[in-house]
Amino acid sequence: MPSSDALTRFADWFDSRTGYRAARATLRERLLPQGPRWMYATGACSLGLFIVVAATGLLLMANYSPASDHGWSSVFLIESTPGGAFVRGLHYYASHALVILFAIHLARAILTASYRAPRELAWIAGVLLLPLLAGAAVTGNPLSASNKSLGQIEIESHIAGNMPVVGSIARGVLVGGNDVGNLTMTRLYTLHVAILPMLAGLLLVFHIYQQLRWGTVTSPTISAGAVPATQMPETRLVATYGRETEPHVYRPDQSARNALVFGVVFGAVAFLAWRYGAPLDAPADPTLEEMPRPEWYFRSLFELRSYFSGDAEFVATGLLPVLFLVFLAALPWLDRRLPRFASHVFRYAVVILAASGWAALTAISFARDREDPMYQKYVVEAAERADRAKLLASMKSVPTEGPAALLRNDPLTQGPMLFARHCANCHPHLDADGNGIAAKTPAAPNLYGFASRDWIAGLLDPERIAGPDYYEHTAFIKEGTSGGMIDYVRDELFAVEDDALDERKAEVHKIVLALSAEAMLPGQAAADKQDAAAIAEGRELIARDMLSDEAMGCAGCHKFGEAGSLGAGPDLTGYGTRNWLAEFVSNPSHERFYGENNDGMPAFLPAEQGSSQNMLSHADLLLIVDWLRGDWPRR
Amino acid sequence: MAGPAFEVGSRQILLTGIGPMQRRSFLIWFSRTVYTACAATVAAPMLRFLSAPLVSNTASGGPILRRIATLDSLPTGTPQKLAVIGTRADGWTKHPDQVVGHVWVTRTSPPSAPADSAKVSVFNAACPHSGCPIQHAVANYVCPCHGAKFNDDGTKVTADGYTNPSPRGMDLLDHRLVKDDATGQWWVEVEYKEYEVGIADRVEKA
Repeated sequence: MPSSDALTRFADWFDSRTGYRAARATLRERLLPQGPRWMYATGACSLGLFIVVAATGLLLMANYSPASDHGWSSVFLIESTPGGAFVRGLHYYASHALVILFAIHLARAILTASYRAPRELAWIAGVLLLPLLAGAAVTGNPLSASNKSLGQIEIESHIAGNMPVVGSIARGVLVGGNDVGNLTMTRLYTLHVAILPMLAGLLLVFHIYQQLRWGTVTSPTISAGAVPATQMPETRLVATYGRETEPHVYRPDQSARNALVFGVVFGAVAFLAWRYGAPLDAPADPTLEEMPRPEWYFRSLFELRSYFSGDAEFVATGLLPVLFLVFLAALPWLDRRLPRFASHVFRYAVVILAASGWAALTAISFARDREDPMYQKYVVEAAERADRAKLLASMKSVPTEGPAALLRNDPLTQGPMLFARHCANCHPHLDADGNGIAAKTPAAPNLYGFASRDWIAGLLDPERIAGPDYYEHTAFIKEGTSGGMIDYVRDELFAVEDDALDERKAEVHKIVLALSAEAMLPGQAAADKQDAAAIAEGRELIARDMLSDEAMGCAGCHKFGEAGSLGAGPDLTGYGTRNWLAEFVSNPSHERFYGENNDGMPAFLPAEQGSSQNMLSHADLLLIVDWLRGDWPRR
Repeated sequence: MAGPAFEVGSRQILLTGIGPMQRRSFLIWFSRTVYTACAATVAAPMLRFLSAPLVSNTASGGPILRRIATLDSLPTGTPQKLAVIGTRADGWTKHPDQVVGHVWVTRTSPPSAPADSAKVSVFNAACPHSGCPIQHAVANYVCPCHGAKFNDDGTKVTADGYTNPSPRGMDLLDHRLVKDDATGQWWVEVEYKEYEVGIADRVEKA
């Protein structure tokens, strides 16, 4: 441990070589002509947020991989690494806070006319930071390679591509070809982590240098000759609003104000990062539905675009934003032509018009989406998909074929979509409350809870077998050709003397348990294990030709293991298992299933893989089967 | 200089009884505390994040038990370099059926010895000096990177005028001979492990 004496000597030596004490004193002891102000804190606060964004961004680079398949996976890894979600959250919310603070900083510079001579260049450097900030957002948001973010860059790159003359070149260079892909990610990444921050850094340094050079200039010093009055025709530097304050040393009064404002803003950022974290949508997959919307700060431009069409869209996406920036940059020269009061009104009008225009367009855009049921449905589904993808990735890590395979091979995600496309023409999939997928023209049983105890119990219920959940809409009922099973359940199964009814009901209950257990549904594993004894009795009952009281049993028509024979009804051996159901859907007219009694279910995979007779791929068929059986990864 | 007050908006919080110098040092202390707290809030998770690979054990899936060759395929006395296939966890992806390392396998018992009492030696092919893949020359094992030499029993070669750069002999791996139930063939099953390099002690990699 060096003595404080040694430290002092080192500091003296260091100062003699660098002059850091004098430099520090210049920063700390510079004079504020109008005294300390709360509103001066916006600059320091923006700078602080910029540092937070830069520091956390550098760290995220250590784990991030810019590629269309690895992007999402590496961001997911960041999210699941200790500290990673918080660091990414800080980066995300600090960048949003920077947008807000920067806008306030700009607005207050306009209101106080701080862009006036001799500070025009400091002002222009600040105005140029605005498109850089927008560029950092445009290039940063897609880096997670999520479905939403790649949807955003797809549109944003086309906005660039629709610029006159240079558009197609700009888009080609940005995207790295025609389609958004790996090269897009590496290019966006280069812009986001190197080129844009470097440019922003240079502008910032210049802006701060200008601030230090001219910040302490007051009217008297100019007239006293520090700056030749001929070069400074405008000696009204900042509006004082009649507040006469004597020049004030920067530290500590202004630095304490800066610290308090930054502390509050950073506290909010840290809270959001800790409480909510940065969002991560499902991995990009062109087969998923997408309704991309820009981030909130671009919503006004998004809304503005909707008022133009065709070639005129460029007015909203390019011309107006650029004109606005040019207008801002020209403010120092526009404003000096005006008399004092007019300038005052002008500056307030600029800020109020810009802010209210921005707010109005943003509010209209959000209101439009709020009233759009399609968008609201999309938001809910996208959130579900995002949670599902993250759960799957955490359960079994990302497969080698990329993160899109997580949802593409997930029965819970794909099942409903495939069912709706291939099965829901005839089969409904509706729960007891009527929620789910309705059939377009119902002609077959409701497959909700297929092979579950409840579903089988309904099938063996005289009241329900001919009802809407089972055979009501099938040809058997409609055309009066009612098959053997329907008649059997309605007319024979419970046709016993009153005193034998209870025994028959108990038998049927055991058959229900056994047949349902045959399917080995994952969701019913615990119940099946618990009722093992009853299930064993039930299996015996199924295998019998006759039930008590001389009634026909299942094996009278169905094959079940060694008992019964094929021909009259589907094979009940392994009924409802993955294999059974897959083979059934592949070809229901096979003699193992309906044979000639099939009333209309098509064979979805009757031939070898790749044959044009097949309506489904084997993988898709298994996804439907797994979904029907409730067989998907669960937490 | 301003009086002993701290302005918040239009309200003044009076620090009564405090002189201008105390007020000044309080404000300086306050600024420093705020910035230090903010910096710590950023730095702490960043350090935790950077150091996460040191504490989490996601990369290694424990020892890999693999059948690497049939006994019949091994000639007596001639080392064979064989690949070990396993699942390689690489950051966010798990690659199944990847080459995770190599071993040198030698059948040391004569071909006439019955299979259940056959002798085999298995070494990790990574050099204990710096992790290079060891080769086998006519007389002994040689590492092509820095010239470490090992005898066929895995011990370091010592000779006058030769300094062996390896801190220890080659890493012997546990293995057993198992009979495949279906084919009746005998297999060499290796418990593949990796060890830290550059140190005299044999320490398994985390």
